[in-house]
Amino acid sequence: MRWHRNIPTGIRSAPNIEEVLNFGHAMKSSSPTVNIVLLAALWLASGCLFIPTPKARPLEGTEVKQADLAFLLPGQTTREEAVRTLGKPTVSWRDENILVYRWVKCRGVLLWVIAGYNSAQAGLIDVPQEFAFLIKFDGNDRYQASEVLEKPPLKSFGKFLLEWRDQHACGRQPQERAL
Amino acid sequence: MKIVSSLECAQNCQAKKRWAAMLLGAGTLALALAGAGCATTSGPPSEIQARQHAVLLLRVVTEVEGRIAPPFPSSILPTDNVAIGVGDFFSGGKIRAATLRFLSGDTRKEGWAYLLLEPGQVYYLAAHAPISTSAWKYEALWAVCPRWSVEVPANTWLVYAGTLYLPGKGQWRLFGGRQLVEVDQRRAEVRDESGQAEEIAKQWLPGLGHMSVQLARKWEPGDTIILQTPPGK
Repeated sequence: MRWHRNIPTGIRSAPNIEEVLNFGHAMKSSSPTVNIVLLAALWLASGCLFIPTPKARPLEGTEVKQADLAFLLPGQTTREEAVRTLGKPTVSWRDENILVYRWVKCRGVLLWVIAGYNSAQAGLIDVPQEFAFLIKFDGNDRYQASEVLEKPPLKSFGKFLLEWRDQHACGRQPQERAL
Repeated sequence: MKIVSSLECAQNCQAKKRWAAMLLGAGTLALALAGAGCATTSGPPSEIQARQHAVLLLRVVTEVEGRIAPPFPSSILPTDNVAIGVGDFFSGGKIRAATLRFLSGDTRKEGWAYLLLEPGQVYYLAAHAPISTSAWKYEALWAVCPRWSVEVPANTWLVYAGTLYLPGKGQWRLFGGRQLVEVDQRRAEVRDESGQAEEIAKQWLPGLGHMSVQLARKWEPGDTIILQTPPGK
């Protein structure tokens, strides 16, 4: 494709790689005004687009579903029973007697395009969504409280844990556990 | 007479300017040397002296195809054979690149390094070959490279975590010898050189009290990450 003084409408919709590759030639043969407009169009053509995926696919870990938690009875279910049923936890917060099951789902994909002087690059990046099932036991290793939560992406894991602990601070019985 | 004195004055002025230029040059050179990325310290940093952080002393031994290669050969050139990462309570054990510190040029070449960490926590150490071509690949490697857990007990200011022995495959650098590109996970291990560590600590980290030996334990993918609340939280 040959670029002329009038900017083709194609650049606004979907520039293909061939068009982008020919961009340099157009720049050389155009006036400064056209060059500025072309550069602006090039800048607009670069960017990213978030595409949500209808059914979030798992990226990491195993999801804990509400239906799996019917066996948990406050003051009755033991830590051992919980681990036997739910499997090995991702994290054991030993001095708080809290277990964490963590999983990551793909919220969507990010389509990115970077157009340069005479080339372009594009790709897809998974956008993760992190979840955790937190389960707290008392000093006698009996089930006390639990919750499935989505971890805010910008919050550190430690801060996320501390906030949850503080919300369930009643009846805290810290316990030291061996590594 | 006047001509002579003005000539002398001009010469003096020139000499002064020359001295000033030399001083400026020397100052700039000193600043450049100080800021050239040298992590080597001549004594314990202020954070250690103020008992804000504990010293996690470790040694790294890298072996490239049967030959011992210094893990951190230069403080200026990016010629390291290994990248070290650390995970803590706040990262949920997730590994991030660690800021390694060194005691001296010689100890650095022998692989001795230390991390400043908060006491009373469980940490996760990781090691992989250095990659300078892709930041994504570099970050992704932390999840699959050899990892260890190590505990820094509360009120302990000096901990020896062991010697990380990291053998693996290498490739030729453009300049210099072979560089580690892949750690052999099956052969990677932690060795106990606490005797040497004591000597190093005595020489370079005096006044930190008893050195606690907490050899790092291998952490396999799928193992539960143990976390301990940071003091005061």
